[in-house]
Amino acid sequence: MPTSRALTFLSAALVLYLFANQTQVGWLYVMSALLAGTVLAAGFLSRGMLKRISAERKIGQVEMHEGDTVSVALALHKGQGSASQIRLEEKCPLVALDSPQRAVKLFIPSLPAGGSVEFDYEVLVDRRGLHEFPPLTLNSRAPFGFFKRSSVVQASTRALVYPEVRPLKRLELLDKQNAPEITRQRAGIGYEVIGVRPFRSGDSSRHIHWRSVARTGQLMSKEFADEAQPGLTLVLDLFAHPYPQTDTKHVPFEWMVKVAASIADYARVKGYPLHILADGEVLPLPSGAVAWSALLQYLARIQPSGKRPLPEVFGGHSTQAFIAVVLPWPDNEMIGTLNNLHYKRADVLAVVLDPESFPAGGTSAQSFASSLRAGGTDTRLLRFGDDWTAQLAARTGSGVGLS
Amino acid sequence: MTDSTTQSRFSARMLQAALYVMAVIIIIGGVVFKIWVAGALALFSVFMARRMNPNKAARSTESSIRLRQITFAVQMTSILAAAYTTGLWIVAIISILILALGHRLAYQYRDKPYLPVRVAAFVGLHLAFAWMLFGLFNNQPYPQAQVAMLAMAMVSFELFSRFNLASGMGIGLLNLYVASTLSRDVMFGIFLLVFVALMLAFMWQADTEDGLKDNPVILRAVAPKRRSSLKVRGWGLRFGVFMALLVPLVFIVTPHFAGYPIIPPFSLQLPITKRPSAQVINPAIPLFQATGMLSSNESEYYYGFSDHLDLSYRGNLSNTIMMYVRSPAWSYWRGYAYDYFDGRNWSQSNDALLTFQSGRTRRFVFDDDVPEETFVQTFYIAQDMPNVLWAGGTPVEVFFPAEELALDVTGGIKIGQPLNAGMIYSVVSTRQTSDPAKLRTATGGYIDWIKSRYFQLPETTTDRVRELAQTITKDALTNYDKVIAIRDYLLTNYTYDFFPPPQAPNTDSVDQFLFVDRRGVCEHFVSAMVVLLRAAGIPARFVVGYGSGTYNAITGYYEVHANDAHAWVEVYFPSYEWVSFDPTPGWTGNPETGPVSTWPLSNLFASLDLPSLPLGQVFEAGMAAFSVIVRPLIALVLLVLSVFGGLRFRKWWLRRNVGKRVRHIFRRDPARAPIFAAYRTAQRQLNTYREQTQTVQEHAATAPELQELATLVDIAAYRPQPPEPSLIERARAWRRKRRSDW
Repeated sequence: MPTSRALTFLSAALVLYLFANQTQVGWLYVMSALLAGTVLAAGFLSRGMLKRISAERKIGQVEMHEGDTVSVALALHKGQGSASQIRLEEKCPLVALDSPQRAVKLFIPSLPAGGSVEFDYEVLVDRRGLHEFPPLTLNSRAPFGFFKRSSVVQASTRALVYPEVRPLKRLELLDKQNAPEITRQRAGIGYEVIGVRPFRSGDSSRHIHWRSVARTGQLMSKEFADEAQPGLTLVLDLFAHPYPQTDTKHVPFEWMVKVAASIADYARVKGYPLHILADGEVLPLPSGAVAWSALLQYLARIQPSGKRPLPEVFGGHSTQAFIAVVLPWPDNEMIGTLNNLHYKRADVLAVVLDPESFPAGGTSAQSFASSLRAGGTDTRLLRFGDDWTAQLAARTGSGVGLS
Repeated sequence: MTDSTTQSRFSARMLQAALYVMAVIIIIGGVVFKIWVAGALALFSVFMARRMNPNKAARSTESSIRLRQITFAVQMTSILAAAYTTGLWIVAIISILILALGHRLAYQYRDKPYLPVRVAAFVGLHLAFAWMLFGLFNNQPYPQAQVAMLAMAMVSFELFSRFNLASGMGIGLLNLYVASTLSRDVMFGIFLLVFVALMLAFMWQADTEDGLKDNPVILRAVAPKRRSSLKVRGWGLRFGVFMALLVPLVFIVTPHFAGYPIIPPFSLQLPITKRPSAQVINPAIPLFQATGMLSSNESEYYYGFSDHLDLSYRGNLSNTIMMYVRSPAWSYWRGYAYDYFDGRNWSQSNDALLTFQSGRTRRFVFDDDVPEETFVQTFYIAQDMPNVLWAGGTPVEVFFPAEELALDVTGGIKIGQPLNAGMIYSVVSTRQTSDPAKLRTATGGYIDWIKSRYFQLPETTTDRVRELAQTITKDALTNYDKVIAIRDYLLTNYTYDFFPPPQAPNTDSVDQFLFVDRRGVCEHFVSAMVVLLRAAGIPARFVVGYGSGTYNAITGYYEVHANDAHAWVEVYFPSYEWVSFDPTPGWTGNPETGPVSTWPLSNLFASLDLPSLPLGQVFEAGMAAFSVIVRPLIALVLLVLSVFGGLRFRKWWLRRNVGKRVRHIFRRDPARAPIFAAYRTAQRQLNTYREQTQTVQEHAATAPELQELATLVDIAAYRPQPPEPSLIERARAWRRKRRSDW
């Protein structure tokens, strides 16, 4: 695309040409040709300026959680021919929307043939989810600013950010009995795979987990759950409730994910098999007991886009001995469902997030929580700004953090 | 927003408004004069005005020293080009000095333009134009080049923003334009190349600096394992190769058309007041005329340019360039003709003149009703020449600085004194062409004055010459065929020789050439053809002038050398008048005017009839008006200057008292002086001065660069103990750093 500078030069060449014809001054023809020839030569030269440039981006950590600091390295390499005065913008989707690192302008004065440039930076990962770096758009007006050339370089990089996990000191739901026996040596006893571990002498070769072997380069055996062991069912409300539109990450749904991840982490440490119960229509639900990494990947991706309300999700599904329900929205239909579970002697923990307390506002969950408590369900009402780990760790009836 | 930014924007708006006004005027003019192209040009100018530099950053203050240095080099190159072309080296040196000062002050006061400097530049600019007007009427050499150099230097005081710098280079291009119109030397191309290279360097530097300034992160390339510096250099090499191919290509493929000059080709020299003379005054008189001897001496002056032409003369002509001719069409440059021959000498039988008066426009109209296509030739006289105006084709108008000129009986244009080197004149002519078919039908009787002059043969003409004429033309049916037969007979049977044998005494020159020597120069061929034609009953005459010369496609000039002096034949055909033929081998046999390439814009300004405008009167009236107001103007300027000077003196006086106190401190403790000196220098360089109501620290708060020095000044001013050497060295280092920055 010719710039206004090229048009100015060509206009000057045209005017000189007109004057040359009027005056018959030979040098004016030369000057006109010189100006026009300069623009044309620059045009020819600029055509290959941004060609044969490749880009590569590397992220320092494979596993990253919301709130981690990670390093990103962007490298551009020029193949044949040199390039100059390249402008580009590195758009990083990992950082907060209002962060200056969201889009950083870069300038490369000169990129010789075979040469490369590198841009290393560290970012604070803002949100969980699957993020994708957009392709790089390179711009250059070299040489001499007569033509603007653009080129899109594919350097798309995907990064899966796990939710933040806060270690809980205790959780009364799972602390009511002694820690369950760990089933790691009990291969062949159960049927549900709950994880993998390094291969040991004596393990059946049928239990080798080949995908893990391929990934790690060493023999890995599947771990099976002990069928007799009580587990934890983590119930998540993914229904698309009418949440207020907001750019902030401090919304009840995101807190639900964090709380769920922290509860799951506690259960993992205690050795409870984990099960998830949620609307699996949009994102397939892992069946049976899930491995920790699978759980994190699932929690990293879920969105409030479910089509079935949570009471409907409960129907027809069996649960484990312990049930932790995290509710980002006070759905009154849930009161009967949870109280019914309580009547059936199931150990239920209901964690209710109060939308009214969050920056975007919403319906108050106070009465909803009271109703649950009235039905006998162990209920924790979490408000934005509270130390929710302490509230979860508090004993029932202790009064600490319970509202 | 700074003052300069506001002013630059104001200037840009004014410029755009001016362009719009000009466009409206051109559109109206286009409608009035029915010139549709003018309307198109106007629309284009409006478009360009709208597109013109919308970049606001370009209008903010430019702090790059490197860009200013390049701009200075660009402008200096254009001045040197003009000086090289015109020889105006003193004006060039003065212009360069002013230019350097202008750049220095423009940089120093870029944030806050200094009013006295601007006023001085404004006055200086007008003085430069006044100098041009003065030069126009006082025979100054190249007044337009002088004003171009001086005006550009004056405008350099206003180079505050990037836009201003670009405009400065645009003015440099205009300067180069003026120089190019005067240049007849291919060396001028070097200045052009340097100019363009520097402009490209400016754009490269500007783009790089913008990139570094606009982007917070700069990525430097990691050198490849195999150093490819050769490839980096190859980038420039490739650009050079592209340029070397494309520039000549554009030059070649763009057609070169004829045009009617926008400014009429009048000469601005002092007019010749002498009355034109029929006598040919050759500046080389007494002419070097060797009779029959082979001489190695070369002359610039053709012995034919005289009152008579003696065929017994021999001699060689040098390769000196006598004149440059700018013409859209190839042509011989005709001087005048001889009609009378006595067997050895050619002369004019009648010295009557038809005189023409020019009035103040210096325009002479021989024929104001010309239906044919015309073309304009401009002659730049390089050596003193006879009092004859050379012209191609058939002249219908002449622009020449004389009050009077005349046509002799052979159509030669005579003036009152020889042409001096440096004179310029223009001739508008119709093309001289002929159609053989029509010329063959040109029959009829000849009018009396043709019969009386152009059938004359000397008594020495021998019978064998008359018989030869009959023999050659016996098979020709028409006069035209006879002319062609005689011309071709001479072309094929005789050889060109610069030094034929000496003319034998008491012999007819034509007879000796035709039957004895059988070789000779153009005069011999032409004499023989005229005599043979007259013997065959066809009126003819002997014409002298110059051949076309060598066309230089780069400069656009025909370079006419002394040895291009030539003679040829004109033959009279009833109803068609005189038609040229050339019987000399090695020259064109049919020297009619070459084709003129025209296009729709060729006659764009012809209908405006600009030559009829009394520009001379306008200039003179302007000068008269200027002389009336010049005294009050000088008084006004002196008054303003004295008021301004008084204010400056008062300020200096007040500061002087402060200075006394400061000097007292210095005398008491000279160790404090370097810090104060550095502080004063810093204020001057940063163009930010402490007000009397401000403390040093308050002032430094408005100019963070002064913070360090302000602390040192406080120590030097208020601490009883003199400052330590380390503090003094810090002040000196700061001063050195700032100087090196500049």
